[in-house]
Amino acid sequence: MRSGALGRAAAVASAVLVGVSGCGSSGITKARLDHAVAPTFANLYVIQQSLRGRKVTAASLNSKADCSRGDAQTADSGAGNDWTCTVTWFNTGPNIAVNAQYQVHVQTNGCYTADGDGPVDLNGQQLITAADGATVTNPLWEFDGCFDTT
Amino acid sequence: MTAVAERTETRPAARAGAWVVYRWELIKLSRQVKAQVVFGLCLLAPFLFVAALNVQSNTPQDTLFGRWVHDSGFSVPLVVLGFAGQWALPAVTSVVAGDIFACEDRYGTWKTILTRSCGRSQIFAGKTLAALTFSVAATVLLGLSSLAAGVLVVGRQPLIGLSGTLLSPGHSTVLVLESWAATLLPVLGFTALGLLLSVASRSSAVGVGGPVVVGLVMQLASLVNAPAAVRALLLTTPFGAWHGLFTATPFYGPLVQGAIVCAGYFVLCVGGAYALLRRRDITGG
Repeated sequence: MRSGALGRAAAVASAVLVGVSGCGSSGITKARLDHAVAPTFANLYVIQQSLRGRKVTAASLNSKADCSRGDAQTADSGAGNDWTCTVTWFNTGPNIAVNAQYQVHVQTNGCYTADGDGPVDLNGQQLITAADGATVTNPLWEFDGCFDTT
Repeated sequence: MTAVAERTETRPAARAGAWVVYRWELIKLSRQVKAQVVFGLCLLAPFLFVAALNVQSNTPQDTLFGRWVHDSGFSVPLVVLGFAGQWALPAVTSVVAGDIFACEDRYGTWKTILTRSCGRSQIFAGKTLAALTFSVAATVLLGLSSLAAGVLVVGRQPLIGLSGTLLSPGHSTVLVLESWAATLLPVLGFTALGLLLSVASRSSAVGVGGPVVVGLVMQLASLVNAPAAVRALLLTTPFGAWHGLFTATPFYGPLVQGAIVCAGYFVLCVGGAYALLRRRDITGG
């Protein structure tokens, strides 16, 4: 009897949760994702370049991210694996902007995984050769990050 | 002591009674195979996990910090924490909490222990404290063991945080310990839930299995993109509150929110369990 009542309560609770899941905001917005991806990319770019024997600072890159979700009709908010981000930064001088593409899976808790989608030399390989000849993990191939959704 | 003596007991005596129950419950727990098995698993599982990772080049990339398990030992306790929060910690805590009241129903021993020198409140307080102690001890053991496994087997390399910055070994250690400490809040919440189910159902199966099922249902609710307001009220959400510690500008919103939610669950569940036990008619058994 008692476990039957508990089972019904659990069923009702899960039905309510699924029912209300269609409405309300999720706390995951384009602005928040942009502001999370751009500095994370810059910091990891600095690490990758130092592995390759080149010194840059994150601040000098002046990186920006422009993320959008799905096609033109999809609202740019909410969790999903159909986000794409274009990261732009200044590499060799203030006038020469460089781009990189990422496919981004954003989870409901505000953590995301960015999967490199070109250029190949930058984020196309899981392993790269460091300046000292060692084979190391490419920090820009895929990376994780989190932002505040509260 | 007789029933008359119990009625005239003073407050310090009541506290002493709860303390006696607490100590006896801990002694009983330390002799139980299930508690020993849980402690053994908490101690050994992280080392087995690292050993399994070391014989392959793949990494558990679908978990945060999973891609760095070969590069920094500090990623190991965080990957374990990511896994554990999904179902292992609710299961570990409810093994004891879900059974600690229901076992008296199973063995039919309520009347026996209530005719001894301890009142219901003292038995409730002692058993509740014992279950909470077990949960905290198991969580601390699992956290320290996974940190040790990472540092001893993989090494003390700097860890890449969630904003792409390198975290020094010392800073990483502090953050790992803080993350596991933050996990104690939902662990205590699930322990309280186990206690409530144990009292309410009088069945160990519901008490032990219930929190695991509730945890999985809540995980499911997060995955189906439930709105922020609903997700904030789930007891599983605080298991991820530590993420904010690893960004370049740490954010504490989820930790504060999680602490409030866990406190709410804790008070409701422990209060509910106490009310149910106080009012229960124990004449049989």
